[in-house]
Amino acid sequence: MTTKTERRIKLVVQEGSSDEDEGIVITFNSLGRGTVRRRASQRNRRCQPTTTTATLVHTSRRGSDTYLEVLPDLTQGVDEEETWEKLQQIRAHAVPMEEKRKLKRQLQSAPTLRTRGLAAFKLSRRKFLTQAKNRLREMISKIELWHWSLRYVEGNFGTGLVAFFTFIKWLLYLNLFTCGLLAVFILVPQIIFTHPKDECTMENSQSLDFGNSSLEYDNQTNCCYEEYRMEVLRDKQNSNRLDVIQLVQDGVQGTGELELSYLFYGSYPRHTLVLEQAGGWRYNLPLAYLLVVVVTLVLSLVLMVRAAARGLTESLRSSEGQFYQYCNLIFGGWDYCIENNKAATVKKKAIYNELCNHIETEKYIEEKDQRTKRERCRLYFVRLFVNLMVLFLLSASIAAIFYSTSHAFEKLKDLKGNSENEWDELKILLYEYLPSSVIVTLNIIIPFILRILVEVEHYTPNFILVLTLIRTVFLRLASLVVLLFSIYKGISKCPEDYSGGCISEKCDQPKCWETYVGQQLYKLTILDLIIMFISTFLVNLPRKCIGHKLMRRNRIGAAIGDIEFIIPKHVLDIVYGQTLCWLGMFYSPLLPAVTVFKLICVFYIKYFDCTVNSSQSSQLYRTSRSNSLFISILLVSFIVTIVPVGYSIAEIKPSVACGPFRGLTTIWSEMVGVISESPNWLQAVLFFIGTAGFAVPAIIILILAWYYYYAVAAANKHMVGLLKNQLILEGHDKQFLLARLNHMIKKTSEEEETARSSSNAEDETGHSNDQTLEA
Amino acid sequence: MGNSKSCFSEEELQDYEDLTYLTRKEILLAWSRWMELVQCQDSSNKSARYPDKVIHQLPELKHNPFCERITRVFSSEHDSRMSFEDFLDLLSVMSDKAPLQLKAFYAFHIFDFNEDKSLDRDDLGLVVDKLTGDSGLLPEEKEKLVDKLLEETDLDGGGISEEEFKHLLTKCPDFIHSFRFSI
Repeated sequence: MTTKTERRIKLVVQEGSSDEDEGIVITFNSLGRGTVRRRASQRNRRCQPTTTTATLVHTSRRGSDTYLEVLPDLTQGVDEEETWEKLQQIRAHAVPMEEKRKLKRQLQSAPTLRTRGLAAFKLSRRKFLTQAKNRLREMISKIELWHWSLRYVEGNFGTGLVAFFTFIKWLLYLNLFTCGLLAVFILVPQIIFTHPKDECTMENSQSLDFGNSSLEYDNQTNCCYEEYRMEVLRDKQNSNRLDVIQLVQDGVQGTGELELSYLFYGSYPRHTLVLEQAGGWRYNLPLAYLLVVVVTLVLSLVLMVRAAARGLTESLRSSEGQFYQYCNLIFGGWDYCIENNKAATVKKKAIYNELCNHIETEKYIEEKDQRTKRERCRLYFVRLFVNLMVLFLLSASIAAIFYSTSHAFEKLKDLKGNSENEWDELKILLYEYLPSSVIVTLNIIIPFILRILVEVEHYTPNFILVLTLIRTVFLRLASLVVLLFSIYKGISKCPEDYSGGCISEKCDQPKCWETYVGQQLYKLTILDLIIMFISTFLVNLPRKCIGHKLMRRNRIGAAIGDIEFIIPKHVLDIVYGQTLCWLGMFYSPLLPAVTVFKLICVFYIKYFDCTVNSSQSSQLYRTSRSNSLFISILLVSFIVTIVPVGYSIAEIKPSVACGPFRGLTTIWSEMVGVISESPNWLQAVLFFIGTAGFAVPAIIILILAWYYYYAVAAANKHMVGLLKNQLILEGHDKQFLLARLNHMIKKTSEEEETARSSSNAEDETGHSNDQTLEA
Repeated sequence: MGNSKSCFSEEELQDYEDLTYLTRKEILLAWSRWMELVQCQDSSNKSARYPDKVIHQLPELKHNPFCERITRVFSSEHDSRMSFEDFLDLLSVMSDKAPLQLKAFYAFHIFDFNEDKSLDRDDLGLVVDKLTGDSGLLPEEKEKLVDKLLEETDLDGGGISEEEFKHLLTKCPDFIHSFRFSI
């Protein structure tokens, strides 16, 4: 049917072209083609052949162009659905408004067959859905966050920077979503449901949701929790002054009252909650806690992969060759949204730079081939040396973090036991912040050194960007991993002899290590925000003021005042914050909420940094490339996050004194317990999934699927090459035929000319004959 | 906003909504920007046409190297004068929701300086000149660039045709991000 329709169109086109000598262009958008096909199949089903003929709708928009639309034959009457679909497509036609309006009227005035029954219902549903979608979109656009700020950035700095800010916005939504899940499934039940009483007595043992065997254990954990609570509160009473400094300190460190609030893992109880209003409906909080965190992490992964896949196809398309990069630059280089003179000049300069970059890259490749052996050796030696340096720097910084963490851990242990005077308290504060400040300092200094080092390596400019980024990401993530590792060492050092006590006597681990981890990450999050604030308002702003106001037209002034907004660096800041959030989510369920608040602050801080402090970057950031770059960095950090969190859930023994999993051997055994209570068939299925009998076929199927797609991709690539060659051949054919045609036309016209001249001559001779006859 | 709403009849608004990729709110916003642009109090006449000098005061066009081409291509009578409806067409094409094919069609005509329906050496050279501004490339570099552009795209000789251009743009992921502006 489709081919038939198309053939008919072709026929009409031929007829049309025989009437007029103008070129005819058929404008078809992809949407239109899809609907034609769909409609065709529907028509087949309904056995109601409506003849579709191409009608000449409108002529001469641009000189001699003729636009041809496939319109249903209006004289015979078409069904409503077709008309409606057509109406929806009008806006995709590249014609002025007046013409579009005419088209609409034409369609509306045409007699239509009313659809009946199911079809009518379907049509009205489709109409309704489209309308609802439009309204919804309009509503969303009304409440869209930061619309005007983004528009301002777009107009003054181009789309590359907007991509950065939309990335912040995307993360904000992701965290809001996480917050919502956590609030609905953990926080709200915690607040509105009735808690069974936990009391530390030998007889009364409640909150037994885990079989009778754990009776004793539960009671013991309750006692431990009481002990832990008392300890925290005692610490607070010891300090005994409710001044502002103490409050701020608690707020920033997550100690004191905050430690026992819902912010941290420790305060969540281990029992099934009961909702009395709903007839004693029971809610297994520990299970919910575990499941929500796992589900959120999986959902974040899915969302990220989806976004990354979109970016990947785009960057794959553009990486097909140097050539497409030129095209991208020439045809997609200009930001049409720019509305500022300075931005326009900067943009032009940036495009020029990028073009030069490309030309340089080409030169670089040529040069690479011509390098002498000696030069090559020298370069390789330099690179090797630099890489060793980088490795050394990274391991030195990792060692520094590790050492400072364990040192602080031990010192704190000593000091907390016998803090006597003010000086000791100051020392405590100092040691509390030692690991975090070491990490932050290293994160500032090392990237700076790396950027200098990479200069001597002589890579292509694009590769330099990626390489520096990878090294910096590595540093940032490594520092976090080391922090966690040193905490882990502190925890696992203790021998497992919990006979009676909540923690073993000789051991120096904190009573509730989960909360301790949560506190560390909370602290890092807050510190990160403070550092950002300081670097923007207390470093960059004065720099700008001094450089531009005081030392104008001075080289030193320019050097101080010109701050480039380097997007990769700022993206790293954001990704780092997100990594902290994911790492801490399990230990501090409200950390996503803190991160949401932080991201809102960060948006404004970065906005200020970009619009007020920074002069514009002379580098061109491509939107498509940077989008995929952001998401892939995020993905890498996510994977790094998953490993320690997963390990701690599956392997480490949770603390006895606190949290929803107290008393279990591992956190995951909660899940195992629930499964063992489930019906037999489910148990069997789940057990089967865990065996090799399932895993081996699954892996084989995955490999086969992967190979299949690989083969399809290879075949498609081959096909593309063949088709391209065919196109070129056709082009040659066309040119050849055109040349022949020209030749023929010339020949015939020449022949005609000669024929005419000869006939003229004949005429003349005839004429003269006549004359002679007359004479 | 209520003021500008009264400038349109319900039917007109519905028409504009059906025929462009803009929402109702955006259309009203476009109208207020248009009134600001042309500085004219006569709000009843929507087909009044204004010369390109006025249109180029629009911030997005003011610094655009292709602004003359844009007014020319979008002008419904091809005289570089634009009416409000032409302006709406422009915004519709430049909106996020417009499909790539539509954007490509207009982009092609914008880049086609000599209006011969193919992007040939002269057109591409001009595009490169306009993009790089004052700090132009050396002639031989430009020549090389244009050569490169034509070499791959122009499969059948005689400049890049519209179809070839549309195909080309599907491989330029930046185009759809950059060929747009919001109201």
